[in-house]
Amino acid sequence: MIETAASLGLLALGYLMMISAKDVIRILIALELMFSAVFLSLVPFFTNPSLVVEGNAIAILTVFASAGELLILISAIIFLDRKFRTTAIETTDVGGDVL
Amino acid sequence: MDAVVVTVLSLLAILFAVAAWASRDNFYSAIYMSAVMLTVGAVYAFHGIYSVFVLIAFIFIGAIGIITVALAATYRFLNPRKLNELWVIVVEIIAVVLAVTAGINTFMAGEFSDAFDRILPDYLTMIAFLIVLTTLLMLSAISMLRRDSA
Repeated sequence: MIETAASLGLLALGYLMMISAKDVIRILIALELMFSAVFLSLVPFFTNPSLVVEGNAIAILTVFASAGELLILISAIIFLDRKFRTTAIETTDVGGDVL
Repeated sequence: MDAVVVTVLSLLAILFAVAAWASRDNFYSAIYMSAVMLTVGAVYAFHGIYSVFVLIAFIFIGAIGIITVALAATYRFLNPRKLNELWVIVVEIIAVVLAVTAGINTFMAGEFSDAFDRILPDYLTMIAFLIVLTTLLMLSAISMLRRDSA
């Protein structure tokens, strides 16, 4: 299916955008691109009559989980800016607790 | 005809994603990212899966998308780093091979159908879930903010 192929292309572009990012806003945008790839990859579920309910449930859970994750990330970006007055990724650390 | 529309929408999604990646300005990247979401939602709408289209349109394009665009408009001046061109070519070749393989090996098992009413009784339940989720997240964010400023 064309949708599956497009979703893999979107995922690769999201990864490329992520590794070329120098600020956390760009990482947020890259993450949203990757989530759009996830949504596109769910399309085949809706063609199989025995998997349509599962596809709907997965879609709802994915949308809610990713929306929650993105909201937390947006809050974290605002906190990062309040504390360090920058959104550059050099100010973040592995795990984010030792700064 | 269906395949043509889906192909055009998928190509538009890829093109907007390339534009989001290539753009140096975070604001334009966020705009292009919203356009990608719009085309993904359009694919669902075209197939008649309106429940997922509503979720994507209201939550991702409507809420998260607008916040991201606003955030990107505030912090738009850090240029992304330049990637090695050889590395980009290798990644793109692998992505194309994977995409073609996945596209050939996934198939339509039947007609497109929607089963939202078998999971949730109505859209109001889902809206209630979303309000609860957002309130819980914002409460934790406010508590962190108050602890940080104390």
